Amino acid sequence: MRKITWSIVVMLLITACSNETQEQDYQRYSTNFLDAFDTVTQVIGYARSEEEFYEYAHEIKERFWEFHKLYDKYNEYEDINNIMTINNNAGIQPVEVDQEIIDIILFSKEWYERTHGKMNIALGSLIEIWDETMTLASEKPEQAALPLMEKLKAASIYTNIDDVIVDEEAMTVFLAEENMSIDLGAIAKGYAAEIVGKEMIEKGFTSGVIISGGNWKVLGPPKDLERDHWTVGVQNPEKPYALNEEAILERVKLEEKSLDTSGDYQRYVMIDNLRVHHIIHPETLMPGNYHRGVTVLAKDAAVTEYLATELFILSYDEGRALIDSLDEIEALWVMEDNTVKATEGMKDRLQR
Amino acid sequence: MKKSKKMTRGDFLMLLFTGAAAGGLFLWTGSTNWISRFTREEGDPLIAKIERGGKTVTEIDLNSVTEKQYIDFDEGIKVTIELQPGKVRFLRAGCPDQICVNTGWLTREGHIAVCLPSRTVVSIA
Repeated sequence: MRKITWSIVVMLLITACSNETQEQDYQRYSTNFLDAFDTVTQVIGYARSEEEFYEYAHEIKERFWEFHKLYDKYNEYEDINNIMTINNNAGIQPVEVDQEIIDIILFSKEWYERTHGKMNIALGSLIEIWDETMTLASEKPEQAALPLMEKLKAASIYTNIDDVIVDEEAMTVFLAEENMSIDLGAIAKGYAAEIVGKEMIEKGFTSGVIISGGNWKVLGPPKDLERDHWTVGVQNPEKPYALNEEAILERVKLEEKSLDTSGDYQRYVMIDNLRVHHIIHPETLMPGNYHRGVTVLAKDAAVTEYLATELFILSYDEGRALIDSLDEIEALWVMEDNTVKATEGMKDRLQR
Repeated sequence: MKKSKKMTRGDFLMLLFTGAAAGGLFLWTGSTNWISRFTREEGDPLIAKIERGGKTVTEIDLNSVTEKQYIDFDEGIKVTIELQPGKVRFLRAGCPDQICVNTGWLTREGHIAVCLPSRTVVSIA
């Protein structure tokens, strides 16, 4: 009996030591890159050497740029057909595209069916009007004006996701209406982060995060003697950019999984006392205004990004019912008065 | 690039940036020990990195800064970075959104402030 006890103790010691030795071999590194998805992407992680870390970071940057080019609706690139090519051929002809484009569209259609269909990649024509409105308002504030409702209504006719026709065999996408366009702005980063994140884990980068414009893909917990999880702070909308402690509303613990926030407080302009931002409600045709922000936690970074937008344009009750009906997905809402509501699973992860 | 020292690190607080969906968040690596977050040792280097157009312009140990210093970028969108003992910030920027200036002081490892229009990034590694 005594012998057995001893062997257990020894085993525990060995395990503890080897863990410690392993973690001591790792150092924390961080870097960032611009341009992909028109935002800044941070890579933070633990690696055995600087070379190893930068090898991962470089590959993440390259892969993100490849996805950026495919999902870009503003620019075309040599030798590839992308979202802009599809949009330019709306009502004209199907466009042959890479699997990554087929996949993201099918993913978006699937989640459109599984939700209330507020988030819609076919809202391009509507988003374009609001984009122009925001650009004008920030560049020439004296000319700032809300778009005419007739104009919005006219554009909204061409937003039916069923008119985005995917032929998986022929590998083509065709927009059936001439005036319609795809906008992947609310899904592209998360979708790319999920794929690239998985690739990195396979290559051995298992302790790090990829942070791209509000989307967090956690590759695995920190290999650190002092900490075994990452903590994400949810920003106080009243202090939208600040870094100090008062600017943090809640802190969410993460070992893995992904987190994404949609909010109205970082990129917006005020027009006629209305907070104008990019998340457009497909029925009112106006910027959504149920809450200040919604944070979604899920395993898949593409799902978190998709649902953060969907929830932003659903009332709390509708959104809460949707999340409660889905497995292993949690959410947190920052309400108009800055109070916080959260699902039980999210509450368990909050640091108080 | 600062090689972090295992036992003397402060917390890592970093700003999350908005995407098309305009979200905002922060993150720092979590610790089960709350006290250790605040036990950064005196004199431990706190390296601020200043990048412009994807290239590192300079790296400065904020703990070795003894008086106010300024770094000016005059080409393209003008930017002024201010350094003080233990902290750094965008003091002024000619960009329309002023997100970088509104980020305020960076004081800890992991803090980052970005001016996308001028492609200027200030971070504490």
